[in-house]
Amino acid sequence: MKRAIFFIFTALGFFVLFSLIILPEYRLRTIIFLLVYLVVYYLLFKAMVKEHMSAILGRMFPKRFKLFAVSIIIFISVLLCAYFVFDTKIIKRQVYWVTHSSSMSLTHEQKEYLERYITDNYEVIYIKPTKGQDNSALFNSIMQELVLYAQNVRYSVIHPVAQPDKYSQIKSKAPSILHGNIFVLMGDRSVIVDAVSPYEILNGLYRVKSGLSNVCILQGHGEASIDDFSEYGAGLIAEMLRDKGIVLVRSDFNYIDLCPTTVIIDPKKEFSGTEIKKLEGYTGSLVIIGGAELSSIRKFLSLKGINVSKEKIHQVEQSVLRDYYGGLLLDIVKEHPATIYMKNPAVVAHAYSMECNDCQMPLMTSSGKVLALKKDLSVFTGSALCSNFFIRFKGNSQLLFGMLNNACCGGSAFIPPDSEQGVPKLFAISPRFLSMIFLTVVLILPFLFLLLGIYCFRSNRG
Amino acid sequence: MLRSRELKELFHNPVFYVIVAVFLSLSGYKFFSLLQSFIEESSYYPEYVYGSKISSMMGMDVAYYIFPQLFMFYSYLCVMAVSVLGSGLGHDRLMDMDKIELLSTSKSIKGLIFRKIMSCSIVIYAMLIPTLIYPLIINIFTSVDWGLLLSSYTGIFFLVLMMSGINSIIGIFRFPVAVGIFLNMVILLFLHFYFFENMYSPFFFGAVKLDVITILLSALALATSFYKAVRMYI
Repeated sequence: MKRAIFFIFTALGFFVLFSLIILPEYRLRTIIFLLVYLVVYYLLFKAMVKEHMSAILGRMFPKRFKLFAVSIIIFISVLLCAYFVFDTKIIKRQVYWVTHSSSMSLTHEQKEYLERYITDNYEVIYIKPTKGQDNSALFNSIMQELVLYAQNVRYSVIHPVAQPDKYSQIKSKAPSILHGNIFVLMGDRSVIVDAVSPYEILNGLYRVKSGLSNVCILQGHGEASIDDFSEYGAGLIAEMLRDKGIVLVRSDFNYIDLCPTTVIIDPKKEFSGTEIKKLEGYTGSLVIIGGAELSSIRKFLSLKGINVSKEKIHQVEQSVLRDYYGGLLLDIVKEHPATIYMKNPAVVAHAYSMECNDCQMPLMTSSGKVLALKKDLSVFTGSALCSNFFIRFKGNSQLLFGMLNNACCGGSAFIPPDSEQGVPKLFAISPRFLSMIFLTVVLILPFLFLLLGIYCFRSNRG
Repeated sequence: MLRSRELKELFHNPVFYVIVAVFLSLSGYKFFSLLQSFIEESSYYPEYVYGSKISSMMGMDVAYYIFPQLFMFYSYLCVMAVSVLGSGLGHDRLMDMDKIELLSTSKSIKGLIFRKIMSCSIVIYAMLIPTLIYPLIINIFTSVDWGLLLSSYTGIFFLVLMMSGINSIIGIFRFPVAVGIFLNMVILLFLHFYFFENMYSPFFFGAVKLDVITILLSALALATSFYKAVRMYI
């Protein structure tokens, strides 16, 4: 019985040692467990198999090497202890882990991001609200954990009335900041975070690091709304961009000059002459998606050297989707500098082909010249590319991110959607094809096996 | 090695094809209903962007929605199929023949059980091959995580092997049925946790997860050690 317990403890030891190597998150717990295990194991070892093991060791090592082996073991143990004791960050993290609830904890990916990329000096300041809900405690709790992974992040809470100097300094850098917001500063860059959560603060750090904070979306001409989550709205793409550190800011022609990048998504109403003039004088990067059926947009594009055909392109390569929106255009804009990440077809309701006189990048598409890129101007004539329905096709989000990559923020790189994770791999099947699937998997396939059974029965009888 | 005669008999038996047809129509209907419910659910956009996190839409991946549930369904069907094919199709007769064979010859009981397990398993695997059409259908519309499928099929492979083993041992030694049901449930839950439930899958997202494999190996070491300890010293 004693030896049986010894065997079980040996296997448990393997388990713990494996866990120690593989699962870094549970090291402290595992080390304690391992110490307990070693003590019990030693007692059992001493009580039951010491003589037996001594004989084996005696055969394995000559006497003079015993001392040497023991010394090496002690040396390695001391090194390991020193590593754990003197690396205070690890101790701090473990203490935090032991003493705090894990409900608000950062995810493994977030911790990794903080450790790898947030290495510059950052300042995160929470503006304590004078009335309404005060989230100072929550902010402090999040930051307490966050600074364990981000080396040079400092944080503080300021009261706008009690510390007017500090508040006015922040207000001068970010005039639109409100009480209850978080101000994130890195060098001369700053962003405002409007909610207190680990995700939002991390998003703020990412935004201030990448400088991708100002992309305006023009509203007022029947464009897809970023608040609209119905089939035709642009709510999903706004959320996707937010996840990548870009907050789409609603804008109109009065404030267009303040935006370094402006996106126009599927306008339905004509632009006035004054508005077209403002667009002509716009010095930032402009991205126009859809709206090619509007004469004002055509006029503006022709002034920029892009002539849009009046004929719609009707080309359906994958008939599984044509039941939606009448005629669908599927287009792989491949090997284009704007869309190097693109591997899947973009799917739009319809599109118009273009002629571009002096395009910065060549027109290379499989089914039509529907994408034009010039300096500070990107045009895709496919309609509804960014609608909540169509953005669910992976190719559409890749195309949009590719276009923004070229247009946004002085050419600094956007993080494109990951090839597999992070991008909603959504799809649609038309009712016609759904019926075909039903027929195949529920009726035809089993029926074929029934036929095989009948054939077997007949041949057995024969 | 294998009981080729019995296998041949089984593949020439019309009842086998009827069972396969029933299995495929049930699993096909399940696949279709899951696909339909996914399409319905994915149209509720606001629910998926709750909390301003598009990442919550990860759950909208069609393969991750359909296949874990589908494989759980397969597992129940396989458990039933093992018992039907094992005992319903003349298995008892074979058991009696084996007993006579065992008494008259010097064949080992382990070898006999092994051959029975393999015969039964091969039949079930043959039944499962047409189910590959479901991921192929999904693959037409979107990219499928083949790692998830590899993991799930591995799980089914182990499940069928173990169920056939239990079935064969119960058949020979006439264990109480309750013991068989209990063992079946334990194995089913274990496999569900590590294979069909994709979060703990050793091949999650197509990547091999070392920690899960390590835990499984450690658990195996623990079980082996326990078995040896019991055998040697108790």
